[in-house]
Amino acid sequence: MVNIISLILALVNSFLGASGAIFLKKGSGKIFIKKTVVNSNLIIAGLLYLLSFIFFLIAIKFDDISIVYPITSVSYIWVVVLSAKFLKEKITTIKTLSLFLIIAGVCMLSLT
Amino acid sequence: MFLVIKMKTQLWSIAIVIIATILMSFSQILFKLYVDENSFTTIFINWKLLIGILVYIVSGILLILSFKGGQASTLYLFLATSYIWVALLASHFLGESLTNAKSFSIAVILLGMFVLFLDNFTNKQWVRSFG
Repeated sequence: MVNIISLILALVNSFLGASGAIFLKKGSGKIFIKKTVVNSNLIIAGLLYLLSFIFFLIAIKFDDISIVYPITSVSYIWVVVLSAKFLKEKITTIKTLSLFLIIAGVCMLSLT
Repeated sequence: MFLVIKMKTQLWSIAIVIIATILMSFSQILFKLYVDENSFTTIFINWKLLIGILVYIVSGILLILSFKGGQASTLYLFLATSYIWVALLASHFLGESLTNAKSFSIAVILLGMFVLFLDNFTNKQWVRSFG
C-alpha cells in the first residue's frame, strides 16, 4: 500500500498543478491583449507550478516513483472540475466516465 | 460503413511528443535519485536535480514545438504514456518492482485518459465514410 504521506502530498501536488493550469489558461488569453507576457494570472500559475513541484519532490521521497507519479494523474480530475467551476466548461458523460476510470486506477495503484 | 478519424495531428508532432515524454520520464528518475540523497533539512542542490530540471525544460520546449503540428487535445493523450515510461525506467534504474497489479492500475488510468481524449472529438471531427 502507498505511503499515506506520499499519497496526500501527491494529491496536493496535483491540485496545485491543476490550479496552475487554470490560471495559465486565464492568463494566456490576455497575453496579446496586454502585449506583454507578464500578467498576474501567469505569475500565479508559475508560483503554483513551483509549489506543486516541491510537493512532488517530497512525495517521491517516501515511496516508489512508479506509484507516486501515476497518482498525480488526479490532476486531470481537478482540471475538469476546476474548469467547469471557473471557466464554465461542460462536464459531459464521457468526461465523467473517464474521471471514474482515473479514480479507479489511482485507488487500485494506492492499494498495491 | 466505417468511421474514419481525420488526421489533424501530424505524425512528426506525435513523434516529438513521445520523445519529449521519454525525456520527461528520465527527469522524474533523476528527481527520485536526488530526493533519495536529500534529507530536506537544508537546501541541497546537486547535478541530479540540475540535470533533471534541464531535461524537464528541454522536454517542455519540445512539447511546445510539437503543438504546432497538431491539436493539443490529441497530443496530450500521448503525454500520458509517461506513466508507462516512468514505470519501466524506475524498474530498470531504481530496481522498483513492476508487478501485474501496478501495470493493471496504470492501464486503467491510461484507459481513463483515452476516454477523456475521445470527449475532445466533436461531430465535425468524425467523418462517416461510405463504401
